[in-house]
Amino acid sequence: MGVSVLQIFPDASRSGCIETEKLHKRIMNLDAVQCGMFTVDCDSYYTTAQTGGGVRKMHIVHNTETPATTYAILDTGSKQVTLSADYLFDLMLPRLDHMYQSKKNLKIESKGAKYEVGDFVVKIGTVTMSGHYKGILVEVEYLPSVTPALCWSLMREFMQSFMGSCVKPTVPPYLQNKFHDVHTPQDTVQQYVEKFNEFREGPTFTGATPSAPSS
Amino acid sequence: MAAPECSSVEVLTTNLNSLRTLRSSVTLFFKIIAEGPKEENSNDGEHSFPEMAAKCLTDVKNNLRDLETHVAGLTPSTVPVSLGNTGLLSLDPSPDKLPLYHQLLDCYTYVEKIHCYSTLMHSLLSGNNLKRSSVSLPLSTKRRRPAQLNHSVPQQQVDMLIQGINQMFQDMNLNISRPFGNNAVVQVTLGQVLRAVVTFRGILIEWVVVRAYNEPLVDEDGKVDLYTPSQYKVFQKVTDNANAAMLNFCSPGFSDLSVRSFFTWLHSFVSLFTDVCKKCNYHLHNHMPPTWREFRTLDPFHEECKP
Ligand SMILES: [Zn+2]
Repeated sequence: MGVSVLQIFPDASRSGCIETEKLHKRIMNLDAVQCGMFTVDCDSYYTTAQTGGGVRKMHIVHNTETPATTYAILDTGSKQVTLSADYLFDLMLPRLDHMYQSKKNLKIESKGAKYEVGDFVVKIGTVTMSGHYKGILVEVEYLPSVTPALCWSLMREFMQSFMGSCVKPTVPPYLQNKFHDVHTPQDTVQQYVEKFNEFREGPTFTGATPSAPSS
Repeated sequence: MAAPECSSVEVLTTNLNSLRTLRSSVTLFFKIIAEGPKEENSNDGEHSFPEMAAKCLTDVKNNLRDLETHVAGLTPSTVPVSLGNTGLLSLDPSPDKLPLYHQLLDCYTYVEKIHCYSTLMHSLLSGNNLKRSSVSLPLSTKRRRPAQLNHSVPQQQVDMLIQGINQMFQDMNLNISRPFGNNAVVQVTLGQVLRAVVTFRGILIEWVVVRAYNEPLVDEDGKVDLYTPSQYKVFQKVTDNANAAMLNFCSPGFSDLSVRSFFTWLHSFVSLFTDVCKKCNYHLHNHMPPTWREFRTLDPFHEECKP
């Protein structure tokens, strides 16, 4: 796999489909080829009171790009640990219910169309939480490269070419921390969790707010 | 082949000819014996049966003597000819059905001649590029073959050259192997940007494939994959350009230098994803980074921005 970057696309009209339609048109003007759909979904679990200590979160993520894998991300607030397991891991979760309890209303997913533009893969996702529209999340992957250090500014140029000024010139903090590491599917999933948390915690429409960490 | 070997080939041909004459005279003798004496009454009488047979036998004897004298003049080849695996082809039990070995020999001779002529042409043209029409060289120089052919050099020489190049660049790692006998295959890892497989023939670069850093260098059988192109457009383009560069740098007279120039050029791709095009100052054009490097200055350009 290549290097993935996530970008929240501001949706001032709050309508969703108008803005995704706009992105679709722009990307098709770049000679893109639409190649199917994608979904990334995230369930969040909280530790129950009896386990003691601070409340810890566990995010269970599925990505249709890696359909045989379930990702479990332990979030202690300061540190994140990712476990990549077989998808049968899902069946084990009910047995953990004395420790982790699901927050159904926090189930969030990004779903939409996938495009190929040269060696780039672009996924324009509509984010919904428990059925409510939250915003637009765009994933851009550059396949031939393996580390963000090599291809960040090239990817920024590509993203700006169809998303405009919402793409900031600085490296997103997550990538900055792993700037010289080889990018893995876990890195993509962790970025999704990061963005999903922004959608959950922020106001319903976060893209345009200056408090977004990508600024 | 050198001049003395040429004459030995002629000797060999006359030998084979006299062997053929001997065999045909023997066949004739047996034929006469088998037919037996002609009918008694048709007495056309020039030669009787015993006379004919005796004459044939004399021919056989003479031809045999010729062959023996010719064979005595042959010298066994002093240079051991190593044919590698192709030597096994001559063991083919039915060469009449599968003419592979002879075709291969023809092909080999042909390629050998082409290399020889191209080297001669190169030295002619490079020496007289301003007055091509008045090329005049003494016949002896024209006939002389180059002392060393580029495609059949000792392995040690290629090894040393590659090792020298390996030490020229910190971030480019060359790994030499010989999966197909004499000819070297060099696996190149350039930073975390790309991997390339460079196939040599002697000291000439024969073929180059460039792939992404995360694409495998070996095929399913664990052998070096010489042919499969990269699945990414950018590296398919770089492969095309690398083969063009290989041809551009190739110069039969200075093969060391041409190999070194090629690897210097290839090394400039360490900044494939980070360089901006020298002409348009952008990273991307048609969703591709600058995949072209100028041969002399190594400046990056997009395919469409090439000077
Ligand atoms: Zn350009």
